[in-house]
Amino acid sequence: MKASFAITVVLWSVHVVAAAERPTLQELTTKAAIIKPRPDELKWQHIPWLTDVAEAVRLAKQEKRPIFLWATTDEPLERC
Amino acid sequence: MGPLSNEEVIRKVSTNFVPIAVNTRKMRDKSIDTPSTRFFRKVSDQTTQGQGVWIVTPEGKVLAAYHGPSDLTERTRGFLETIDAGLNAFGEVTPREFKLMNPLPYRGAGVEEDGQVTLAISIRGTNGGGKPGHPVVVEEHSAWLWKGEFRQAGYAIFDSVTFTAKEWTSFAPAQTEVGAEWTIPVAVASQFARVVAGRTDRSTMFRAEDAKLAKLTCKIEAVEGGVARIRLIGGFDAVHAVESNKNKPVFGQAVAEGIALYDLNRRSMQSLLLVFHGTFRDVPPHDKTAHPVSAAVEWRVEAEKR
Repeated sequence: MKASFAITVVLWSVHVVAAAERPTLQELTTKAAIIKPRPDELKWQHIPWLTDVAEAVRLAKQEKRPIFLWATTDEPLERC
Repeated sequence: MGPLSNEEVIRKVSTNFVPIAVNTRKMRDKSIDTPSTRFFRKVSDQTTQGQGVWIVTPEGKVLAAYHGPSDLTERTRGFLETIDAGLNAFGEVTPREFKLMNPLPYRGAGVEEDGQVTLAISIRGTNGGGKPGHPVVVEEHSAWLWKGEFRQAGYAIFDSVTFTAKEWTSFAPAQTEVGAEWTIPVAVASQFARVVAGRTDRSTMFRAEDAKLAKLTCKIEAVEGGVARIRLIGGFDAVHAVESNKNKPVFGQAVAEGIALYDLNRRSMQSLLLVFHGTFRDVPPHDKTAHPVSAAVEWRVEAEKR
C-alpha cells in the first residue's frame, strides 16, 4: 500500500495531461445524476425536522404533542 | 435507505410528533451546558441505548425507545411499533398539518451572510465506466468492477463541506483571460478528502489532515457572455486510522474533474460541479479489494426558496 501514493502521483499526472478531450458540463452532470441520491433515498427529508432541542421542547409544549427524538453519533441530517 | 424513508414512518412522525434530529456527541459534550443538552441527557439517562429513537413527553419523560438491528425490514417494524407505543402512552394527539421545511437551506446553494458556502456532497459506490486516468493499480481479480456502463453499486452517502469566505475566494480567478491557471491551496483542497468514502460512518471518514495528496488545479478554458468557464482537475490520496483501532488504516484515492462558472461582471462564482472517481480500501484484512467509489460535489449561487 505504501507504493500507492507514488502511483497516485504518477497516474494523476497522466490524468492531467493525457486526456485529449475533457468531459463537458453535460457529461459531468449526467455522471453526477448517477451518483446523487435518488428521490426514494431522500424521503426522510420530508419529515419537518428541527435541530434545536430547546425550540422543539417549546413547540411540543405549545402543541401538546410528544417529541420524536432521533439521535446518532454523526450529524443525523448530513453525513448519513 | 433506512426506516425514516418509509412512508408510514414519515406520515406518523410528521403528523403526530415534533421531530428533532441531534448529534449525540454534541449533546453529551460535557463542556456544553445548555437547556438542549440538559434535556437530551435527561432523556438518554432513562435508557441504556446510546443512539436511536426516543419518544418523549415535552417534559422529558421517555414513553418508548428503540435502537434496532441493521436488517431494514425488522428495523422499520421496530420503528413503527415504537411510534405506536409512544403515541398510546402519551394519549390523544391532534394530527397536525405540516409544511415541508429545508433544515439545510445552504447545502449546495447560496452564500451565507459571513460569506461562507457549503458544497453538497453525494458519494456512492459505483461500477463500470472504465478506468482511464484512474489513480490506483487495480488487482486483476477486481478489474471487472470497472467494466460496462457507469452505474450505481451501493447506497448514497449524503454529506457536505463548508468553506469560509476566504477559502472560497481561492476558486475564483485572479486573472480572467482564457488560459489563466491557478492551484487551489492544499489546505482548501484537502477538505475534499472526505469524498472518497467506502462507508457512511465517520470513524472511516478521511479528514483534511489525512490527505497525502490534495491537488486541485483550475484553468479558464472559455469566456462567453461575461461568464468564465473554469476547468478543475484534481488528484487525491488519503490514509485514515479508524478511531477504534489506530493500527488499522483505510485508504482512499481519487481523481476529480469539474467545471465552475464565474460571472466576470459581478465577480462572483455562479456554480461548481466536481465529479470524483476513485477507490476505497477497507481496514486490514479486508483491504485486498479496491472498491470503486464516486462522488459529486455541487454548488450554485441561488439559494433554494422553500
